[in-house]
Amino acid sequence: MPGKKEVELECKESRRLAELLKSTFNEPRILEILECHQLLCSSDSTGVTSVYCLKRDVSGLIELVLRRSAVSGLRAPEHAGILLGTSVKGEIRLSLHLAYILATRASRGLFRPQQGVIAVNRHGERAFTFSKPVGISDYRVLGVSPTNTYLVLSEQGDPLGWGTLDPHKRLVPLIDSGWFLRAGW
Amino acid sequence: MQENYKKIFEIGVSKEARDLALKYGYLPYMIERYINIFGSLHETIEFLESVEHGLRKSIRCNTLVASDCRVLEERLERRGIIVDRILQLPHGYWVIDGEEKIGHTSEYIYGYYYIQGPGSMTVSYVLDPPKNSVVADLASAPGGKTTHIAQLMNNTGAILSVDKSPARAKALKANIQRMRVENTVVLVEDILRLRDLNGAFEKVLLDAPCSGEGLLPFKAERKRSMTMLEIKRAHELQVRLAKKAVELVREGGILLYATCSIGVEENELVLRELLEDREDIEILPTRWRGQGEPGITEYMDVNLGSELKRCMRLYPHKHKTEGFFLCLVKRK
Repeated sequence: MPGKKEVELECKESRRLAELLKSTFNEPRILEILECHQLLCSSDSTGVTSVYCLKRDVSGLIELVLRRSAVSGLRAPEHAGILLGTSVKGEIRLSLHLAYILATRASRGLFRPQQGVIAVNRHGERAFTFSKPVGISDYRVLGVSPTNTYLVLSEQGDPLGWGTLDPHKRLVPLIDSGWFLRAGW
Repeated sequence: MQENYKKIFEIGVSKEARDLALKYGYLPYMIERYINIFGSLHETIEFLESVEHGLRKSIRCNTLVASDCRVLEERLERRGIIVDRILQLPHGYWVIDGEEKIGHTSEYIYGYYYIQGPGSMTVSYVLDPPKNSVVADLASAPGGKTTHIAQLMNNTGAILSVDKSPARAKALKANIQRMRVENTVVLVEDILRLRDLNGAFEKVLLDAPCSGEGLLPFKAERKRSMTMLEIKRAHELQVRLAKKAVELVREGGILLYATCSIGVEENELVLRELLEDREDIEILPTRWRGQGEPGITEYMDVNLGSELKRCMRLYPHKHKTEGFFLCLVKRK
């Protein structure tokens, strides 16, 4: 049985996450690009808070579910719209879902970041998706991120996940798309 | 349940059924049902043979990622995987060569496709969810149909995707993310507890939990996995779920009742009891691009009603799909 969840619209974690994204890409319109009408915070009993971006119609459905769940004792939603990330013991972790959606927006010309993106060659792609660091010769930084958080894409624009540069300038995965296979689903 | 429907669950087994069950490895009562469904030994054997031969794997190209599916075809070909379009399914492909690699390519990880049977794909096309609408997908994990519905809606509107099992919901959430779905709310909940959402949805899909005997071409263990008593219990649950699902549909809206079973008990008989329960519903013609056999209107000398011929059945020996049943129900 899933644990009891506390759900609220907007919270300090959602504000921190939004700021992280704006700084990473130097893009004040990032939530508009994602078509976020509302942000939703859902905290579980272990202290993990998930932050979701809700488009207008999803927001309407969520309000309906939350309003009626208060009446009938339904459980809180397990997922809604786009999972932007989670806050675990105060640390913000961006999600694979967000990386995938931003890659789609970028491929369709709806998201043109000037910074905060790293493109990885085929050799690096293989390492990254196996959760391994990528050497400096296998990636290109497309604009330095002041948060040292990068959206990592393949040369073809496919989403590999999120990464950070260590002191040796290696690209270290924070979360990588190989998780979808490793998780066994 | 009406008295005369009960005899459907009190099936005897003929010598022909016993012989075929021995030959093909089934529980005898299952074969007797197939003889009654197909109406002849000849077609029953055709069906059993097609199950033995199995089905090719198939995938659905995800247009939320690949706006042109030819890109996917080319990318897979470079990996030694040859695919060929399934004519009646706009985003469906047979995997012709390289089937063993199809579950772990980069394109799979990046959400370019979903591994899905053609019968399962047909369900979302028949549902035909309008863009910007509000849709419910009940018993939805692991998310093949939810992600397909989102694709057909081009990520507009909103989908409530409900599954009772927390473990299966993890797979559902992973697939929603991998397939780049943006318009879905996932609820881990018993459908029967959704009473306060009555009338909220333009379209509702109930892909009801079932015996799964339509999946025999993929899962041979189903030949012996369920007793008639278990099918009766499945039927009783399906009736309750279908009654609940209709309540969620708004006036003028549509329920699609579907199962991956070819059993009359899990399909037409469920619809029959639903029709007897409510006067404000009607069965709509349910077909996809000319495909599908009509629903069964008489079974083991029980008249189930002529309107049930509007429902749709898919069989491996006739349509090269897994066995499926689909029926559109309109709430007046």
